[in-house]
Amino acid sequence: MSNDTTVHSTSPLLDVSDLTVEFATSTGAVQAVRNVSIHVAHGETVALVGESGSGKSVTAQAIMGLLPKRISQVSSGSVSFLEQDLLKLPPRQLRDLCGNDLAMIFQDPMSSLNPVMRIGYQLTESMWRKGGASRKQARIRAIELMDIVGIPDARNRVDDYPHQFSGGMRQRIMIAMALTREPRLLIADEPTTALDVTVQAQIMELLKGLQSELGMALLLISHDLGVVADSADRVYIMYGGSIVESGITRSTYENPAHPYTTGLLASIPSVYERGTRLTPIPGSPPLPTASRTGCSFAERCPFAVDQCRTDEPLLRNPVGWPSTRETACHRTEEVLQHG
Amino acid sequence: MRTPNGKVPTIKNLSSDPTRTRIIVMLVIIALYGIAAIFGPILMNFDPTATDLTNRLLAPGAERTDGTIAVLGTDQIGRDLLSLVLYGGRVSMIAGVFTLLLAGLIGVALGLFAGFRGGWTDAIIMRLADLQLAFPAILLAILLVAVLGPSLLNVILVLAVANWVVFARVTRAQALSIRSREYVSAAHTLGGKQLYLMFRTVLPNALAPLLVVATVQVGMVIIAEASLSFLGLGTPLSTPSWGLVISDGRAYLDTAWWIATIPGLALSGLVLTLGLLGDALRDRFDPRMKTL
Amino acid sequence: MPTELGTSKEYLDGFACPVAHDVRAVDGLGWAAEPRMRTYVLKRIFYSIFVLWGAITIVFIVVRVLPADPALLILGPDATVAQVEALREQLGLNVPLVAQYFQYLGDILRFDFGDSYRLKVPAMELVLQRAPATLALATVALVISLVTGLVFGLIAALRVNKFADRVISAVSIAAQALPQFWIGLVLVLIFAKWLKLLPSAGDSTPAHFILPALTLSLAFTALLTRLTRSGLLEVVNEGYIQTARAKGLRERTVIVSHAVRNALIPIVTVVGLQFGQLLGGTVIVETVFAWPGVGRLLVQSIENRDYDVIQAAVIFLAVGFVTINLVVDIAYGVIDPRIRLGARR
Repeated sequence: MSNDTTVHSTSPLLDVSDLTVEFATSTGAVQAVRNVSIHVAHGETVALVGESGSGKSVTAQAIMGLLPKRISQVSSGSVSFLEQDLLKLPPRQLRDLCGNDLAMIFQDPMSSLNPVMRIGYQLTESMWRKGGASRKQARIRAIELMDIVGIPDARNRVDDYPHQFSGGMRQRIMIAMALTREPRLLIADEPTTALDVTVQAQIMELLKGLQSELGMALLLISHDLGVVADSADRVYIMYGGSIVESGITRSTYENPAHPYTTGLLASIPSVYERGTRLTPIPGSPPLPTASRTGCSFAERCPFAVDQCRTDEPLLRNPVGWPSTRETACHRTEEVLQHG
Repeated sequence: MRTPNGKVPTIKNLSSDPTRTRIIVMLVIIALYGIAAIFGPILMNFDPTATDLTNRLLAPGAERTDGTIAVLGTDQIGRDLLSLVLYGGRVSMIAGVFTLLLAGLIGVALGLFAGFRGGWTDAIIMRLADLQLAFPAILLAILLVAVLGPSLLNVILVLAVANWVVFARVTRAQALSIRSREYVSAAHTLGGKQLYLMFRTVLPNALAPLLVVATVQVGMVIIAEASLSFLGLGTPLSTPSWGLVISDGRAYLDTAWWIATIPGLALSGLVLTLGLLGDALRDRFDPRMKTL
Repeated sequence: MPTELGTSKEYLDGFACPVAHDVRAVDGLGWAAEPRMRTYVLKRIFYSIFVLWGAITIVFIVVRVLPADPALLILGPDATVAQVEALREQLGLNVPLVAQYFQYLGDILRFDFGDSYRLKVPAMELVLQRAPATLALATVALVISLVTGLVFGLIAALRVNKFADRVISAVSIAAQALPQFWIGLVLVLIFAKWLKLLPSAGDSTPAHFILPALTLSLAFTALLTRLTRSGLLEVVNEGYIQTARAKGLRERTVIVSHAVRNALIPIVTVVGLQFGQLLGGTVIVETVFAWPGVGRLLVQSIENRDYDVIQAAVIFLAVGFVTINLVVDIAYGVIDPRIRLGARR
């Protein structure tokens, strides 16, 4: 395991290409995720940002194979992890990967932990079920992990139940659970949303620290631009099921190239603007069932012109910007000037 | 929860909704039962005490000595089974409705007091409820009827006593949740009398879950009455309820099986419809109650 | 990251041998060692005794307080005044009610339930003679219900909305609406009279168990099926199921190890509540099948106006009911640690 955070090889650790996920509804098939492509390099921290309903969690679920089978399916695209297409893997091999090289933590640690099982059991389960460890060994390792994530008095608390811990502690336990087999990639779906603000910072710090120590890549999913600002190397902005902008975090924040990003940034309350009104983005995000002619953001967009309502913008690299920067907007140049 | 067209469901709001059809169908069936029960025996000039021994134990569809056809057959003393079934429906429905009214009255009243007053009133009433639940309802009913004697009135009283608890619980839960809401304490400080408050605030909200509970309970009560009558602990011999007819038919299982089986079909049908109605109402108003 | 643990012997010992006074416990039977569990069990036992007292008092009130004249009730309307007076003396009915009540409680504590008026033997003796038959029937019915209900509920949940589920759900709903006494008679009609396959009365052979046990278990099985199905369906949407899948566990492990245990919790509560119905059902089923148990004794005693036996039988059944509830409550505490550790949900 390397402590080196630089990119190992040229091929990305995770390469999601043109992913489309459909859900079955009473009115027909609905696309929750459309032609989404993201990649994560070894050791990199990438953020996937969007509102509820933007499709970011569905993307994560599709990567891990956690989509509800009866009502959803991946209709196109590929998910390449460690050079294997996860979508084409037989279930058994996918299961081997999950919880191993590929791990995920979820938003609400209370409901994500089984309330009637001791956390020691939940921590060690994959170790002795899949990893071939003995229960004793697994238990020792569990206590180690609890120490690593900062749970005090781990030895005595390993047999406690989830409800005996605070929210922040539970999330730490979730993280410990994800780390048991030293994953190469950790997907964190809104890890701090259900927590208090002070605890949020602690958890993010923990994640960053662990990541640099273990050389782990992190795919951070959030609706909160502020939370990912410090942690992410690169950011993807999602809206209405598609990627609308992506780029290196700092560059994207300082020079947003898509009106939605501009709107998001402007709506963050700042202590410097105390006494002024908050500026939300007017309107609300489109339902997945809404028809798609033109840009899905057009009706809320201050820059929209007629073309926006008829032609759907494709992801492109704005003129004069490095190839890491992409945006799906007809009016990028204007946004960059004014935003 | 909201209905598919976005409105919050209330009693008055039975607008377009697939569950609505279920509810209407069930209500229609029950109404048919009711009409049959009320008017049937009258139309057929039924006299439960009249015997007609020349026409006893006729099979369904057989012809009587006077030329009429016994559509469902006759029983051991010659009474027309179809009439018996219709008449029995009366007994069951009367038992069901009145028991529920009584149990509901007692239960809602006690539940309101327990929920609204809290403290000792609440503790005592709830202990009483727990105690009663600790005693299997049918045992209590059997015991009470054994002492009081068989009669329809006694059955109603007994079953009401056995079944008030669930109404009290539902009402109390509503009362507790409403009591903690601010508009109630606001009204209270403005001088609203407690009783008035209880009625105006708790009852409208409680109506929906109470209705759901009531439909479930009616079915159980009807079966309980039939069971008691079957054991000879229900209606007296002069009032043939379904349970009584089936019990009489036991001795003739070999020779005249229809006496014991056909009233049971009517009984099962009614209870099934009521159960489905209860399910549909519950789906409509509060799917969270599924574990009740 | 350094850890102080490594393979310290102290720790391994702690893992291997649970210490009774220590809150540290291990998976499995360690729960019995927890002090909070013992408190919980004791509390439930005291509560059960309280409920039993309540049941006994209710019986007293019904049998002694309600009727205008209990002696008249026993002797029937044809009795002479002298006979009634004699019986009143004999039963101790001429003292104030409160005194009667304490006499009654005292008798019960000394296990004196009076004598059968008809057979002149101790009432409880009669009841206890019949008890094994009832217990056997109830146990067989319970086992059938548990196995069938859980299995069919599981199948229905695994094949939700497909044909198997629809059939199972429809049958369960219908089965709950059927009155036991009628279903019993129909089964007798079909299997004993028409097909002549199974016996319809008495309890001499194992084959005699089949029809009565089936009848008794029917409603309970239907209820368990529906509860298991809905419980599993709800649980399967919970977050920790997704976590378990994200850990790469086999689906079988996810369902059996994670889902079922949580789904059992609401099932266990309802099972406890509904078991009383099962016991109450023995009264009817035993009558239909002429099963020589406590239920049939109860009905016969009512016909004979043998009130001491009625009392004894009812109390016996109440005791059974309370005991079952106690066992269920304890099981509930074992399955859901939040209950015994007093957590807010």
